[in-house]
Amino acid sequence: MTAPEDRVLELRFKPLWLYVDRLREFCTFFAEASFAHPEVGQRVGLTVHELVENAIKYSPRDERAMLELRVLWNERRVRIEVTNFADIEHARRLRTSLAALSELEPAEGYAMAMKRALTLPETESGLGLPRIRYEGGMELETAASTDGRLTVIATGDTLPTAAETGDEGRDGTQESEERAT
Amino acid sequence: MSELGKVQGLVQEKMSAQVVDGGTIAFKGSISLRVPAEVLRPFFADVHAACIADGIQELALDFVELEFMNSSSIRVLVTWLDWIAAEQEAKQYVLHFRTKPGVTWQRTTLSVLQTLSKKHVKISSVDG
Repeated sequence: MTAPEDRVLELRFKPLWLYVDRLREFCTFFAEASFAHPEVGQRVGLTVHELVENAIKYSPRDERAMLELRVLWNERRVRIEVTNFADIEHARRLRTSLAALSELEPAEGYAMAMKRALTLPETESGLGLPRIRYEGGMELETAASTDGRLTVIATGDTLPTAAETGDEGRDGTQESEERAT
Repeated sequence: MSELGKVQGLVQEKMSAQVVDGGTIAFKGSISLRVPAEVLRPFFADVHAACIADGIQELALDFVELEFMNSSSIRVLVTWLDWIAAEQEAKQYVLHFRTKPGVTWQRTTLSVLQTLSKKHVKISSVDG
């Protein structure tokens, strides 16, 4: 992506579940207050929430357990990075999932993930990454470092989508919706 | 009293789901449970069993005051939809989501959920 490093938010914290909601709320607020288009705040918050949840689930339960969150942005692009220590098998599964997802349109990938969720153990959903692509409007990639740290990177536009401005449904389903008062 | 009216509401630290007005489940707060299968699923299972027993045609899910739902919890909604589709045709019912304009995740996620089973998902945006 075009270098978005004009402005940066960085946080480093223990991978505790009780932080997740507050992080989403803070990052939503932060983006609404800082980005040129505040409508994008919810997408940023959602992306942070799902990435941090995933990182917490797959973080080691030892003294290495530490998450790093970076949000970099400029007028047009945002890049969200979440880094933690992850085992090789998890990193491999993540790369495989992202490669498969990249073959599909975001809406199609999310719908397929919903169908596939029914075949997974009840403790898994497999929806987080497809949701980030569709709902967050982000592309995803990973980067591994030699010390065993894995970074999941989400990049997207900081311009509001049609769904955010209320112009039209992202997949055209709005016509089937009703409005009530 | 209807079976649905007897369903115990779900109250957690950051969210609640309660049966109101006989045929509506009102959600509030933020559903970001770590293991929703242990909390949300049993509640949805109770509601589903009550809807079948009562012969309900349409159940309103009021999301207007629901700020957020994590993907693990959305997965339980998909499971619920699967339970409905597995029932005999006459016992199947519609999940009618009442959403808040401006809350983007509701619009985007529910529209994708609707593509799984159009006849069982209805979405309406509640102004005001």
